[in-house]
Amino acid sequence: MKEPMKFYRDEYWLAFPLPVSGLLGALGIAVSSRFTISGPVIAAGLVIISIGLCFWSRNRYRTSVQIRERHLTDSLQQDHEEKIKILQIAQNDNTLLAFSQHSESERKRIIALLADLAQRFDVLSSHLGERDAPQIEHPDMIKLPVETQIADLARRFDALINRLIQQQASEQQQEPNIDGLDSLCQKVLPIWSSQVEMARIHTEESIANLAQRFDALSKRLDAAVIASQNAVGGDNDTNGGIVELLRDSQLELGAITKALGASLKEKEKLLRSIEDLSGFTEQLSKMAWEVSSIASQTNLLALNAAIQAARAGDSGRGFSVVADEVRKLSRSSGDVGKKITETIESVSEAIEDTLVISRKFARQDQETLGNAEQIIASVLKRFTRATAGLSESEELLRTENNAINHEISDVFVALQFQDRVSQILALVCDDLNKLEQHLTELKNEPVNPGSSHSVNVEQWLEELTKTYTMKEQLTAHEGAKTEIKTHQTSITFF
Amino acid sequence: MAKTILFVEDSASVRQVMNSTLTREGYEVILASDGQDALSKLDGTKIHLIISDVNMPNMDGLSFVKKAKQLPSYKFTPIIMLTTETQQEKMNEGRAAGVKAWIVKPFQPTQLLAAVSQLIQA
Repeated sequence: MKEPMKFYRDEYWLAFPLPVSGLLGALGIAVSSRFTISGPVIAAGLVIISIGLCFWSRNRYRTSVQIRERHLTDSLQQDHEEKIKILQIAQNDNTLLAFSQHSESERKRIIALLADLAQRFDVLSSHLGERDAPQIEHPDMIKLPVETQIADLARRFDALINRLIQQQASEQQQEPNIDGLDSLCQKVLPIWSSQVEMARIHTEESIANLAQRFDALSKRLDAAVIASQNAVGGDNDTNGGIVELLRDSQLELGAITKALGASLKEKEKLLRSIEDLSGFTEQLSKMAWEVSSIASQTNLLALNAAIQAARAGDSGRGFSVVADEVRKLSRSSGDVGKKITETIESVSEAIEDTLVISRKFARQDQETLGNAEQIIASVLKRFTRATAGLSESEELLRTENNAINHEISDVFVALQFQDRVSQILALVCDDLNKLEQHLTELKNEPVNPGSSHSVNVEQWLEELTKTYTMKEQLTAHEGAKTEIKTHQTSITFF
Repeated sequence: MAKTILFVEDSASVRQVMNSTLTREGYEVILASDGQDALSKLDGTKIHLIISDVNMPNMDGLSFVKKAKQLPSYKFTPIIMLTTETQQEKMNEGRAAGVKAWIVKPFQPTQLLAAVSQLIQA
């Protein structure tokens, strides 16, 4: 840096040769007056040059003097410093110790002030809601250099300023408050929650009931199909079905008609035997007639013998007795013959009557058997048709049952929507309750003057996102429309 | 002899659906409404398979599975998780706990029965 110019009392004397040289110049001008240039002009020029030279020589003088003065000052300063050093060295130990103690106490006071400042800074941070700000450990802090502590405080101060700026910006971005909204939310949120919960429980109970009814329906249908199947085809155990019953009935009825036919044949044999018996009665009648004829001839013979005995007199009297007895016997034989004839006639009449009745019965039996066979055949035919229809119905029923079971299986898939709806509604209820509790807590918290309660919306939404279990919930949260796919089963095997 | 399945589910409708589906296939079904209820039913009864939901009140499905696996009688019982939960972290937690299959609702009864049959016969 350029030093300021100084003035000296004898500076003009030292520059005296210069005005002398100026006068010599003026003299030169006078000598050279023969030139065309006017004298005053040359004089003025010379005066100016002289004055310039005067000032120049004075400055040169000042400079040289200042250099000498600086040299003198430096030498004096050096002397002073040497003297000070000598004096410092000469200071006693008590002075040094006192100075050291003073320095140490000053250092501790500065560190205490820094610690107090940091503590006050923590209090300020906590009041401003900077919960995540790092807290300085004061015992460790003492070990840190003062510069580090000051730098750390400066950093925290900057961070706090940034936070205040952000908070201010966010407060400016917040929507304007609506009077009474908090109170309304506190009252209406529990009502919404209870309404949603009631709807959820009611849906769950109804769907469970519906599922139970579908299950019962399916089981009853199964039972009906099994009963129909057993009725038509049997149950593969002891009980035969209607088809088997029909087959058995056909066999048994066939056996009955065969037995009836055999009985009719036996009756025909009996009829023929009776007819043969009527032939025997004729022979018996002839034999009875022959007996009567023999009795008549015997009587006639006995009569002739009696006549001959009578002619013989007493000698023939015994013979006459024999002839009488023979005649009695012939009469008895004739009576017996008549009785036999009468009996045979009665028997013949009875046999004839029996034959007539038997023939009539045989004809009726034949007709009855024929009718029975026709009726049985017709009934069996109708039964066969009915059984075939029943089998078709049973098959149709089984097919329909399978289709209905498939439908019920689909219904069971559809009924599972309740579980998903229930979870979504339960989550909404939980969030409504959480909001209501949060509003109550905020209302109970003291409010600093000039500030108001606030809700961290982004944090709230982020926490809500974490509670989702289904992709569809996340999609709906992001504002997109979503559809729950009910016909895809996702199975992951580990 | 009918195989026994323990089904743990907080939704009454899904319990009814599963009970019907499994009973029709000839399985014997024991029902429980949450993990706590299910643990009380693990009293030494022979159980061939456990099917459990994940998100339930009182005790969730994964906690129940971890506790069930600590019981000697049910250490090797195969377990299926039947849930709406699709988060990969939960699935990994289930796999680490010893779950054999993870089925996301809604499920087709036929596909579920196929998985049940496969795990019971394994």
